[in-house]
Amino acid sequence: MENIHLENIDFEYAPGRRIFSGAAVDINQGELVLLCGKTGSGKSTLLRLIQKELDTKAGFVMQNPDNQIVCDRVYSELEFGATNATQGNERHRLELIRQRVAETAGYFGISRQINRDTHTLSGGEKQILNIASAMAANPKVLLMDEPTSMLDPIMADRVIDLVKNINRELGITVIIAEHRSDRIFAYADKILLIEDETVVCKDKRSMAEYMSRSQELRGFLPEIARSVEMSPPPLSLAEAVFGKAHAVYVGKEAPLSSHPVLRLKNVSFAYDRSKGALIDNLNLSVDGGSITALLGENGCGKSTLALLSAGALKPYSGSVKINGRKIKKAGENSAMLFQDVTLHFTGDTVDGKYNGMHPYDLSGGERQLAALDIILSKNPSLLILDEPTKGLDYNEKEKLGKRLEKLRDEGKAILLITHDVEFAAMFSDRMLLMFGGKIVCDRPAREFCESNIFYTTAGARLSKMNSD
Amino acid sequence: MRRFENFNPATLLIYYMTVIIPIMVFMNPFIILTALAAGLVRAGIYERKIPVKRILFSAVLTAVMALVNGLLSHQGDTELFFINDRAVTLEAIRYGAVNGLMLAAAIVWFSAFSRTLTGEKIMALLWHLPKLALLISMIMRLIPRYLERYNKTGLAARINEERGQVPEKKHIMQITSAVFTWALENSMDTADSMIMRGYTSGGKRISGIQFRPGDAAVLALTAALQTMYFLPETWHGILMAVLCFLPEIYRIKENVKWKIYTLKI
Repeated sequence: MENIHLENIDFEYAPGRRIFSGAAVDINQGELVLLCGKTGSGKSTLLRLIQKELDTKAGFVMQNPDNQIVCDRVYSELEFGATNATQGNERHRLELIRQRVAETAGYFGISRQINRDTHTLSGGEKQILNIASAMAANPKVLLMDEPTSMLDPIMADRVIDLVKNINRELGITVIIAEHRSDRIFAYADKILLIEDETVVCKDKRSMAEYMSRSQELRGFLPEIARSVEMSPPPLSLAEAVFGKAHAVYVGKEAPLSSHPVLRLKNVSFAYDRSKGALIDNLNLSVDGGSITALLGENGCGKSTLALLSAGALKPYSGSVKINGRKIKKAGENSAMLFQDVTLHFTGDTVDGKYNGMHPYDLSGGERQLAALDIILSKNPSLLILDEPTKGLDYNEKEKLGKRLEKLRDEGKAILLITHDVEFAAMFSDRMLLMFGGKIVCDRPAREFCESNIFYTTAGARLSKMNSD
Repeated sequence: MRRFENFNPATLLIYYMTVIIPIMVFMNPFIILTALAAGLVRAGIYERKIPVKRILFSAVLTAVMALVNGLLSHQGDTELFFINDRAVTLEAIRYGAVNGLMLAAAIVWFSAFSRTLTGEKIMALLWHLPKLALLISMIMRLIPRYLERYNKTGLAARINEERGQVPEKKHIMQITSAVFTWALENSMDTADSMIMRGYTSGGKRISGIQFRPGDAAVLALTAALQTMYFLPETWHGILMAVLCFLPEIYRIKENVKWKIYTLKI
């Protein structure tokens, strides 16, 4: 049993740069603890301090799934965790390692992938492997530093469910820092908040009430609690419906009509002939001075559509035009913000507001805005963003949204590829749903949210429940 | 049921070496021809079709080597014809042809070798050099990762940079440098992740691969067949053929065993 008691933690990076001080928190074995705090408030630092104390009794899972994988094969990776954690004579260790790898692979459902190369796994599969690998070392505590921030929402939910299972079934203490609190807030036994250099610990109800009182802290609440005015704030849709709450905001009414900038006409495309068309006879126009959000499941061709619009891929048939002219080379009149914004940092410093800091030293939200500045320098008329809100907390998302609205007002056409329905409903004028290589739903944001059952916001779901 | 590839990697390594080394060391046409023919037949069985490309390649290689050696070397007694007053001799051509056959046989057998002894089996052989094994595993992971990053950075630059501003050479340098920065930045995480999983530089990996009675049998058979080198030349071809077809003989034995087993049910 590992009960964790934090008291009077005092940590300074440099004289005067205090991260936090004075905490008295008790965490019992088997509890699930959610750790909240703004970017740069010291969540990672606190987790690492706890790790240092617990040493091998704690498993640690970080943000970037790729960085944590050590070996080339899934089997070697699991073996790596298990090998380091076993002791005794060779024969005994050998048996133990094999047993550990086998049962870990079984529990986490990765037996089928055991002989695969780790670099062929998807982001979500990699993160599940990381969790499995940490668990193979038989820890008592699992520390997680924003484990889902680089995953798409479906995989993110799977990872969170897995973490809940590990906590509930195996009695492992989990301390998790996480922006997407929807799935975990209501399940947490305790919630830690780092605010103004101090660590506050409360149970979820009183923490939810405390957070709902401050505009800054509201962002840490689950989406449903942010979408309604209700006291105490609801932690699930059921609570909101029962409390007869009303959604504050559902989405924009109708798009501003304007001139089309990007126009795709009967576009088809495939990477592999044998797999058929990934994009199938697709028509789409994106207006100047508007934000258009494109949603759809993974692998439905969203990113391919983006690359086609940016001219980096050539359509098999059909035409792609920007401002009425056919694109001849990549990036003509368009710019594209990639999912991993560090791809845009080819220089050693970022100019402007960040006065010559190294781009890797910026926080997630700052990186996003700095990369946006870099790609906007050539003044494109079409701006494509691929999952720009991944890994950002609520406040950072708002900042990014405001920036996009400003660009829209300058007359740019913005195509936003995202899984983040809430962000899309908040800032876009028009929302599209892509499926089977086609756009199957193309409506103003509000109508889109009201007509959908799954691809919609918590607020719209609530309105639907109230109206039926 | 069990296949030849399932034997202990050490057994497989020794077996393949007893075939490949004599091909390359003894310039014995019997051994080389037998090994080449057997190798091609085995490749055909493995690929389930007549290995036309391999046969053609071997033939062309032999012909080219014979021709080149015939033109370059002028030793030997049997003069066939003269080019520029230099004799082209039968011996030189024959020597070249045997060399060509030797290369062809070695190539065929090395490809069989790499088909059987895959990356992780070689890793398993390195178990008593745990640090090296881990290092190789880590490098094998990093190579595809860095290549992918390089391509992606290039794509992002292609879309977002105004062309013509930066000369091509400088552009490549810039992307390479960006990939390096990224690699260094991210390797910190990997190092942390290794330490957090309890890795110490003294940590030892253990091989989980066993040595079974079957391995001993294969090794004993291989050793017994080495007696061919003490026997007259005519035996070389026959015993080499047996050695080369050992995996197929094992396969037939297993097939027969399986058939009998299914009949019993």
